[in-house]
Amino acid sequence: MVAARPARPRAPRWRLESMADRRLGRLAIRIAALVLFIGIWQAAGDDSINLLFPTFTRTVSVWWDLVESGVLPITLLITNQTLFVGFLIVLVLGIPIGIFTARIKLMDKIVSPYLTFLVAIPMIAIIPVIQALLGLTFAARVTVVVLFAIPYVVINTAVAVRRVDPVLTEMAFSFGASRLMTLRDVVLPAAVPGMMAGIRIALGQALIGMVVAELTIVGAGIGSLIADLQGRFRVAPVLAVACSIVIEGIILMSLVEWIERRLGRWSKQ
Amino acid sequence: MSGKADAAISIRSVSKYYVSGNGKKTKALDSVDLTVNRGEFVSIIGPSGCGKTTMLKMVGGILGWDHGEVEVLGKAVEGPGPERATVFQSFALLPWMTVIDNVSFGLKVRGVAKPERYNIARGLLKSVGLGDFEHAYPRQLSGGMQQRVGLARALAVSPQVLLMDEPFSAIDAQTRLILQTDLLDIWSKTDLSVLFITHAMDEAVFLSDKVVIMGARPGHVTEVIDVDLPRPRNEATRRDSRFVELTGRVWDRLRGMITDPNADVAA
Amino acid sequence: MTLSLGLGTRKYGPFLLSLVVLAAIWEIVGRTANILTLPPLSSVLVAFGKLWSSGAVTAPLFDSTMALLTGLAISLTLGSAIGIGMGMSRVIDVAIGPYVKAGLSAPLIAFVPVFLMIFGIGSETRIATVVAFSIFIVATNAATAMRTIDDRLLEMGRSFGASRWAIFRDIRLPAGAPYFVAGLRLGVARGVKGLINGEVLIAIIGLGGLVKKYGTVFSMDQLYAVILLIVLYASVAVGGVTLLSNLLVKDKANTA
Ligand SMILES: Nc1ncnc2c1ncn2[C@@H]1O[C@H](COP(=O)(O)OP(=O)(O)OP(=O)(O)O)[C@@H](O)[C@H]1O
Ligand SMILES: [Mg+2]
Repeated sequence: MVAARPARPRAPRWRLESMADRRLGRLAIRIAALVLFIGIWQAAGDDSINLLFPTFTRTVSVWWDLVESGVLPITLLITNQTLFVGFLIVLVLGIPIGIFTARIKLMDKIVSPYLTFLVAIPMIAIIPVIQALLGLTFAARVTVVVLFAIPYVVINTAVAVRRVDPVLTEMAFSFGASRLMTLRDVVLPAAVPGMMAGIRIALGQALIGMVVAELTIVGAGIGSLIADLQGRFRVAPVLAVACSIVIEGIILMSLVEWIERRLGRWSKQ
Repeated sequence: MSGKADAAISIRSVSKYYVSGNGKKTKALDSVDLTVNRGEFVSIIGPSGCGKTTMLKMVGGILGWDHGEVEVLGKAVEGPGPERATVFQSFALLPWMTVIDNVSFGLKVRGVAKPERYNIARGLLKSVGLGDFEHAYPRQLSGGMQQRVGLARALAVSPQVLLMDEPFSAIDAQTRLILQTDLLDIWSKTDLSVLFITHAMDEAVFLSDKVVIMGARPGHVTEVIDVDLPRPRNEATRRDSRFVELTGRVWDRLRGMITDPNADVAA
Repeated sequence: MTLSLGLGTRKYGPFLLSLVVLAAIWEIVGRTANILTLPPLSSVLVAFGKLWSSGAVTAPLFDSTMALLTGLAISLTLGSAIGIGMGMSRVIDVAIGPYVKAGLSAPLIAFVPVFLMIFGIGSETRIATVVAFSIFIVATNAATAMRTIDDRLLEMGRSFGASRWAIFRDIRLPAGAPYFVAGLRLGVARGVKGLINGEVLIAIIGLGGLVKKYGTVFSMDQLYAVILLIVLYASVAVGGVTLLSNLLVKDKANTA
């Protein structure tokens, strides 16, 4: 957009701005930003005592130690089982509930207010209840993940199904399609982009749920690793573990975003 | 039974009420009579909200009515049927499907196997001039081409009655003229009966054997104008003085309703 | 009035009915089954009344609210500054856009143990959590607010010789107002979650601390009373800011 405008005598500013229009320029900007970010982190860190914010280099080397010793990969793997099972349940339950919510008026009237409410409240508050019911178990942690994420899948699926152009369902009906066929061949495909948006948001929430479950309903995963490191007052490895989770989250979110873009290609102009 | 044996569509004293959310009843159609004979091309024209779409949906079997009878090919309408197909104003193409899958949609619903329905679809795509676009997606096509896909999809199920609700109203004026001639071309090669809704007077006259003029509040038929222009019709038809005269007559009937919405109620 | 009331029952009737049924089931099961984890609703309400009147929640409530407001103030100023920068300059956008986008969806809650070790068991930790939860949505919406402007309006402004500042103040800000307000609303909604999440994980302070306190001793009616309090707290905060944002602008940008 900037390039399309005639150049103005405000040259110095615009020259820097126009860097953002070229691929190479953007790459340079991003690298510069990353270097700056790491530089600030390095300068802000202080490795003299374990309890201070660690430098970048120390965090990386501690992270590598955790990886090499196998501790981090194993605990991450254990923790991710919670996420995997939980998110699977979220999809398997959430999508059908969303469809029914959109299709059955009474269900909509009953379920929707609860969902709006569940989205607004901090789900973490009920963890002690889950813990009292299920103990310090895998099932308890999975339940937390499910409760954190499922409202978003249900709501977005319902909205997506409800927003399907009625002309399309009318078209299917006019060709004699049954309700089931219309659902399978028209309504669901049309709702995929909206459903994917819900799944992406739900994944973000499931990741939060996973961490919360690990930290409160401690099992053999990163929760116990962090508790152990905290007990020995080691900030750097805790930060390294936290960064690993955040980076995992970013990777998973990008993956879902990529799927979302692929599946939703037809809906863009 | 009661319908004339040669009637493709027969609507007899049909009334229809809509009940809105707060329980208020509005009369959309008041004792409408309309006949489309077999092989006939009939257009309906009338002010916005006079119940044209309502009537077409009733014939299509996707909307019920309150009084009267609606018959297609001598049989009372009870729902959608294989002898009818609809072309939609907004095309109603499935955007995630390729052109050929869209065209074969009706056949898929009817359980026709894939190779066979693709075969049929290919033939129809050729006849609407889109032979090279079977793997394109709807968004890659212009509006005119999209409606050709819509037409091919309707024809694919080999209907005897074609229902078209303002099929060309979302298409630019020049493309529209081409589509009109092409539609007549295809129609003349079949024994299709067509019920065609439009707001364009020249379109109604150019295409039809009969132009049905409707008035609003509640919807009713005010007049049926026979179009005695010879067939086959072509570009010369549009310059025919009889064409101009008939178009003018349709406009005369409609103008009063549009400038003074109550005029035809009083009449 | 009667009409709208009638429509209200038609719309919310089934929900209210289900609420009543659920409450009744809770009460009956709680009384008859005598499960530790499910005290009858009435005793939860009694516990809630006691908790409220005893003043045991006044201090945590005040405490938590101060932390929330501090965190939100940081998020709003810093987040808006970042977002405005991103919206005005493509270089800034390219440079920090990816971090903001990552921060919006990555599980930053994983940093709470780090905050806890560095800041200790005090307000700083939960303030940091509030900021982590809310700053990126504020920044994202501020950036959208800056970009949403119609280019023709900017051209118009320039053609009249308006300065950059004048364009910012008279064209960009008013045009982007709905997005700023949406950012505020979403920021508060996320900030409240951050607050409670932080407090539960810190386990000693504020409303979240009460959850932990009653949860660990299995004092169930008090635990449910605190959960009820937190739910009310979140609802009031989110409802309040929604009302406020509706008053500020007719909110057209209510996308997450
Ligand atoms: N689902 C509905 N509920 C209530 N009223 C309806 C509904 N559908 C149509 N109507 C009303 O019925 C009348 C006829 O509508 P219809 O869509 O058939 O008109 P139309 O002649 O096709 O108009 P247009 O030329 O604008 O397409 C209108 O007054 C309309 O408001
Ligand atoms: Mg219509």
